[in-house]
Amino acid sequence: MIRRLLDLAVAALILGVLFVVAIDLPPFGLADAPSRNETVARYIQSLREDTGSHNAVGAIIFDYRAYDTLGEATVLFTAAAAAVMAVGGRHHE
Amino acid sequence: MNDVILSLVARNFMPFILVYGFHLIFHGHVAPVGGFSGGTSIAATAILAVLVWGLEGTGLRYRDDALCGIQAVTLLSYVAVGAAAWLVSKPFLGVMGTFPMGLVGELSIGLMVGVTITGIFIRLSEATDGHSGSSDD
Repeated sequence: MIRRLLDLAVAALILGVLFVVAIDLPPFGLADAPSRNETVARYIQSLREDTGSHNAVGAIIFDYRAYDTLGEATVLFTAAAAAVMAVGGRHHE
Repeated sequence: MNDVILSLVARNFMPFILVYGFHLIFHGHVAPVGGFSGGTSIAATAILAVLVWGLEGTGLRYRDDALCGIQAVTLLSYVAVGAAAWLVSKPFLGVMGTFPMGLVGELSIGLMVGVTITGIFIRLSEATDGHSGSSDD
């Protein structure tokens, strides 16, 4: 019973913190939001010359952040290796 | 399992899912899609087939060497495409948004994701064969 009340209190605390943070977020599309820094200007200004891509979102995901894709592929590789190790490989004869 | 509705729906949906997956992969260098989403869609057709017709019905079998080999080759080819950017004096992985190299990179990522998801699913289905009854006709 005490344990359950403690769980509820912790959950309520986390929920309260999340609500406070969500209320304090800048509104969507605000011109001087903290996320609109010089990176955005740089992307908009020189994206075409830098990447040669026709799509800004695609260029950011797969060109500026290509290391992210490489890391994700490595994570997938590791996950598959771990799964094969865990369940054991079986060759089909 | 031999359900005529499931069989009919799956048989008619699978080509569209497959074409959509290839569409996502082949537009990876010009749109915010790519190998990850496309490979997952392609793997979804294989998973759907196994869920509907079972491992015996689809004839899919897990092969250790195929999974590990294709994974290694595709991951290394992605890195090789990234390193090829040095030839045109761009930073590592700097050509992923342009036509020929970006498409090769997206193809390798898509192949890797599809093969990995399909392979792990088939291996786990084989491991649970007889417990879940996923492949009894």
